[in-house]
Amino acid sequence: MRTVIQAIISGLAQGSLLALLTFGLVLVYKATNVLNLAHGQIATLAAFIAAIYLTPNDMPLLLVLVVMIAIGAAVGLLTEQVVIRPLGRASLWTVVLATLATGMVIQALTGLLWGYDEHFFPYAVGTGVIRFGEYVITNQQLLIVGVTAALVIASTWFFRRTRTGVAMRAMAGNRVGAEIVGTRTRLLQSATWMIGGALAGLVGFLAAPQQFVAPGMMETFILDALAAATLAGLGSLPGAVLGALVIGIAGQFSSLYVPSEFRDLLPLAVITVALLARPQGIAVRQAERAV
Amino acid sequence: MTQLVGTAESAVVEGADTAPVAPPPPAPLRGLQQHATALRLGGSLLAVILGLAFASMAGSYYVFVGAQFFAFVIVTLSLNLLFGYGAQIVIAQGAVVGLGAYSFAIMVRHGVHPIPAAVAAVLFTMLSSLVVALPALRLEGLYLGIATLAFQFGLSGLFAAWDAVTGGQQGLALPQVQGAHGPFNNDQFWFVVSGIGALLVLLGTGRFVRGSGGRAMAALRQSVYAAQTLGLRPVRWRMLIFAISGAMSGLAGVLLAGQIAFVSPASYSTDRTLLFFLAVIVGGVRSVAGSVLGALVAVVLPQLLALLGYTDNESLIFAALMIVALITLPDGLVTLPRRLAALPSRLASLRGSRRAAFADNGSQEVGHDGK
Repeated sequence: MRTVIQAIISGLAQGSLLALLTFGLVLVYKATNVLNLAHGQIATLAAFIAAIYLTPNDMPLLLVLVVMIAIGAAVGLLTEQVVIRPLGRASLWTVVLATLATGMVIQALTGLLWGYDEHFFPYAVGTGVIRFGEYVITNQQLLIVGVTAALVIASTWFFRRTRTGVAMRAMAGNRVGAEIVGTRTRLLQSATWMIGGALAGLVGFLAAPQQFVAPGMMETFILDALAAATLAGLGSLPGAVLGALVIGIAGQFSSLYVPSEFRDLLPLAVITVALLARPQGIAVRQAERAV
Repeated sequence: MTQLVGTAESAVVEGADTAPVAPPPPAPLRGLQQHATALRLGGSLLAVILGLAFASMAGSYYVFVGAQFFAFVIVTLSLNLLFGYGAQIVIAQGAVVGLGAYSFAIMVRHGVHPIPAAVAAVLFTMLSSLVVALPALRLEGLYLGIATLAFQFGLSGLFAAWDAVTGGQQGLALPQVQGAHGPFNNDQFWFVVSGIGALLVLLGTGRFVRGSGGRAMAALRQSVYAAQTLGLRPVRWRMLIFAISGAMSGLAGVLLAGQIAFVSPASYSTDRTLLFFLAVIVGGVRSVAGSVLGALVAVVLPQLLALLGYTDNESLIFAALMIVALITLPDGLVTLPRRLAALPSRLASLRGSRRAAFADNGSQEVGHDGK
């Protein structure tokens, strides 16, 4: 029983980190109808630059965070300008393949420039833990849960109450219609990708300490996040968080009971089980409602 | 009828399908089309003769690359059938081919005779592809892409980590069977077998997409609902496409495993999936000839890179090329001649319209003449 509850606690923390990642995916998808499969690699790139040039030189961690967010935003903007914009109004699969390829370019470049060794990355709030009774939660986990919760609230407000947020939803729903009523969609699209990239930088900062920094560090992560997004529907931010928490807990339990060589099958298993449980389609209806 | 197609087109699920019917070929080619069957037979015969001549005369390296090319033709056609004609976003081609390769290798290592092992591997891959098809019946577009990407990653991880069965990162070596190749040496044997396989798959796929299968696919791409009103059953067609494509992938996997006498996780990774997509897109989505062209690119490119001394990170080049191809040549190399042929008239019309625009300006603003 004790291990089960501890697994749920750790799973919720891990799920919060996943939620943050899923968040970036859903945000960009919600505004531009593009699934950014390069999201994880943007986080990796930011973490790499920080782990090689910034943290060894004892830069204050808060400043490192700011720089990483800036790097993420810059790479997001670059992706939008170089890949997404020239594709124009290409079909769904074209854009999916393009972002998949972009992710591979970024990953290959990271490996080429900085090698395939693992790099150390410091914990933002130290390695301390908080005990309550016989259960343990690390400071880092607590920080992640806090940041995620804050972002969920902030973004819900953003999409419901601010002009920019509403404009982003309008752009996703009907681009031409949004342009007709005066939405500056080109600018908004760039802004969306910058925010998405910035979120990737933030994820890199929070995920890097437990992951170690290596070119493929986000691979398993991003797939878990994609599975989470599939569970809830790509268009729904609260759904994405819920899906991520489910996957986080499932991941902890799988590490308890399933041999590690089958770990990579987890996202597939979750998607399959969800399909069996809700054969009418897990995501499609929710996604339609959310737009 | 035309009315119906018109409304179906406005409700296209998959955006790219603006030209479902190929434009009529230029005048000199029209005569040839009447003798298509004879031409195909003649071409096949010529290909067989040229292939045998090549296998007997070329150096063993070239024979090996040739065999790889044949296997890639099968993979590319398989992916093109599913992704191009079937409009299913399935990002798992590397894993599916890997299933064929691994199941063949594992069976042969356990002492199964290669021929029944190959048949079993093809059937197994076909069944696995049908398992992948199950989410495809429920999920649309992007969600199917995600589910299949999860399949790809899951299997990649399994190939790499399940040491007991797949040999893990080390991979599995296939035992060489002495004297099993008849009059051929090992490379020639696989060249001939792969060549026959590729030719049969090529002719079969061509026939399928030109016939009622291709028409059904086109109808389903345009609008599932409109197709259903014509009596087409989307589920049945989708399953059929997955089964055919899976069997082709399995065959290609067997051939690839046999040629190198080795299977390893890297050969069936997500990077590989991207390379297969590159072949389809560079060649031409929904084009059989394009698939052959794309396979040629996908095989020659890595060899060329190795020749230039660049071996550390091929996927960088593949991925970058993919982006460039998607942006600049979305319809593939097969359309290049047609595009080049259309270039003068397009330039002329461009110039014409610009002149017209200038003339228009000139009429309003005095002092501007068309320059």
